Amino acid sequence: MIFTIIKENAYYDSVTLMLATDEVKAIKGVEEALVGMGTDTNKELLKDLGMLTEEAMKASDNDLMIVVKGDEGIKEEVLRVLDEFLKGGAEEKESMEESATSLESALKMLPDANLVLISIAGDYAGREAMKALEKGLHVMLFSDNVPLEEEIKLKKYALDRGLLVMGPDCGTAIINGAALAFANVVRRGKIGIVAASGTGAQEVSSIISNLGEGVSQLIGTGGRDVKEDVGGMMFLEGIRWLSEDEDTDVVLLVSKPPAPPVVEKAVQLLEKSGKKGVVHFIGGEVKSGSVVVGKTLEDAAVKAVLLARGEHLEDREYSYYEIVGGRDIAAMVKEEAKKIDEGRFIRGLYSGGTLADEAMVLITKETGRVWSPSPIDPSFKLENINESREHTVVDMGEDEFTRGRPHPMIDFTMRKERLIKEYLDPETAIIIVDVVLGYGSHPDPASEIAEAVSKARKESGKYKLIVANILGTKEDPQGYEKQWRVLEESGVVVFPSHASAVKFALEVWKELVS
Amino acid sequence: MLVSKLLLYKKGLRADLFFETSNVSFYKFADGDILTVSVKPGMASPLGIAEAPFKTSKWLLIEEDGIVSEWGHSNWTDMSMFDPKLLSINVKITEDHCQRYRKLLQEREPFFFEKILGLLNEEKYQDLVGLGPGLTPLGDDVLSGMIVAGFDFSGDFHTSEISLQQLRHAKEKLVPYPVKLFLESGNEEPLLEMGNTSGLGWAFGIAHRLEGCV
Repeated sequence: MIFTIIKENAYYDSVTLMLATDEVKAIKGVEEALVGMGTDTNKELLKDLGMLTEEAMKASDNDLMIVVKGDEGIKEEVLRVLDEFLKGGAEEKESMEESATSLESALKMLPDANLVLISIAGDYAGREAMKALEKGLHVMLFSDNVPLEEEIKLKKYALDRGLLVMGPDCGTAIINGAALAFANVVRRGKIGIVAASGTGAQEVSSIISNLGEGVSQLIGTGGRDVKEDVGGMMFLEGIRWLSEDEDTDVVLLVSKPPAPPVVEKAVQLLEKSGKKGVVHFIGGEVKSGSVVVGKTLEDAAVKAVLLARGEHLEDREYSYYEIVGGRDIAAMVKEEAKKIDEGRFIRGLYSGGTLADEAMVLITKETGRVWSPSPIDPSFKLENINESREHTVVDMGEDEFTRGRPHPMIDFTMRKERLIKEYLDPETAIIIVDVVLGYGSHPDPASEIAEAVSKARKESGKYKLIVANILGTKEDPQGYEKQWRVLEESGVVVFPSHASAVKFALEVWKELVS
Repeated sequence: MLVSKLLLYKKGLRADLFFETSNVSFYKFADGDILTVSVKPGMASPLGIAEAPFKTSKWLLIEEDGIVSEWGHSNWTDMSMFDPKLLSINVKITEDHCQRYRKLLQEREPFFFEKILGLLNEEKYQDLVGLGPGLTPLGDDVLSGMIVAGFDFSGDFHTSEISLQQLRHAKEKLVPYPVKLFLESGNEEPLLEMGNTSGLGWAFGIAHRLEGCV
């Protein structure tokens, strides 16, 4: 039998058509199948094949013809298969009609929305953000490359109207329980976070959630907000908002070191807020009588948890393991140091910028210096970003690495290559990597790392220590336990926080060189 | 963002979205001319824009100083312009080119490519028009390549409207940016990445005309 389907005035993606054709041809009983536009030559061809039906004859140049020849009874199956493929296309179209193509049409669909997430090229983002503010909407601006003057203008306008502008270059926020962009599946609770650092916010919110507490709101601001030019407009506004929020008992601030006036104002606001406050400015100093200072992201998160539980805090650095227990770290340090076959330097390969910064701060404290494409101390800037020296920390999410490529949280190609290269370097003794889970990240980062590790070990034949931290919650879509197991089975030593992973690496290093 | 110079002739006009694939959106002006907007770098048609931040907008306005979409305004000064007019052919086609294109087409479209080879052998060029799979049927891509490489085709273009514009442009030596790159400088890579089999069809047509590949 021969049967014909004509889709009038229908264009489909060539790839879709090719896949649909292959799939139809693979059906048992199908002898021949042709899918193409209804042009004269295609009809001619059908005629040659004895497949030109009356319906096909009537098709126009812009119609899609599907003509199938085969056994009786295949029709149903063919239709099912085509339906699957072409409906996919049609659905895409429908959802295109449903998915709004402008702010106005989006608001028509969701008239009650009060926040808009904008992720378009930086040149246009400012204009869209202003439109949103004019309509009384809060804005999360994921886009980067928004000019500084535009950021200032937007934020001033927003402040006058009691609105938030999170960003530009804001990658993480959790508002009223909704995770926006790169965020983890975090419990709701009493701790409010204001963060000018995306991965920093992810790390503290995940630790808080894993320890059984939760987050009321996580307000991101974008890194430039806390610099002198913008003056922390949204960082400070975020603190004000949380101060007035009934569901928030503890306010946690996370940022790379802000401009000094911003630090001062933030601490003042926090002291006046009537909430318990914890502050962590990566590598920065804070002096305050009543505000608690976190020494690391982990320490800050643990302190926020303890405060939320109404516990008394001692003036020292806390670690995750004090709460969850388990693991004889001292014994593990000795064992690992003994196993290492060569090298005496630490190499950190990161996808999260804030984690790379924290690693540099911690390693510098113990070793004196760390090389990097963007070091804390400019005298240790790597001349060639691809060639490590001594202790090196690299944030592979930096523009120099991501030009024309996806971010390393999504695509592991670059980091895998670099991991193998570092492993084969006789100078390397220890490699640290971060594994970031949550929305937006790679669906199975552990397997990617594991693959590179086993390749590197096979090629080198020597043992070197690889330490990873998992940034994520037990509820994240990648499956926390599974990720942990995959890493461990590949011979990686895994930690539930970044600071604990780096400290472990440093302890092993000390044992190694002492 | 890469933009064809021809767009400057459309100042004051509006184009409306009528179809989109995952990488390209097609817009139509009132006179029927079709504007393509691709998200991919370098993939600009003779009346097209590549690496555009505003691929999906319901409409585009071509203005004195730039393009307005639902996403905002882009100035001509921020775009790179290219002249789709083919100026010269500098590429040296060798037997190696022929073999590779043939092999790839045989792998990807065995049935239609066989058919096309038959038609070329018998010099039945009119029968290439509209033949084969794809948004721009493969036969049209091959014929477009032949035409820009100097083949004087005098038959009718009876094919889908997107393809029709491609063939008409080809007759005026107006070519997509990857085709221009290939013919003027020999850079083959972007051409082979164009569309599903489109670029490959063009490449084979060019090689057929210049080196007699069959």
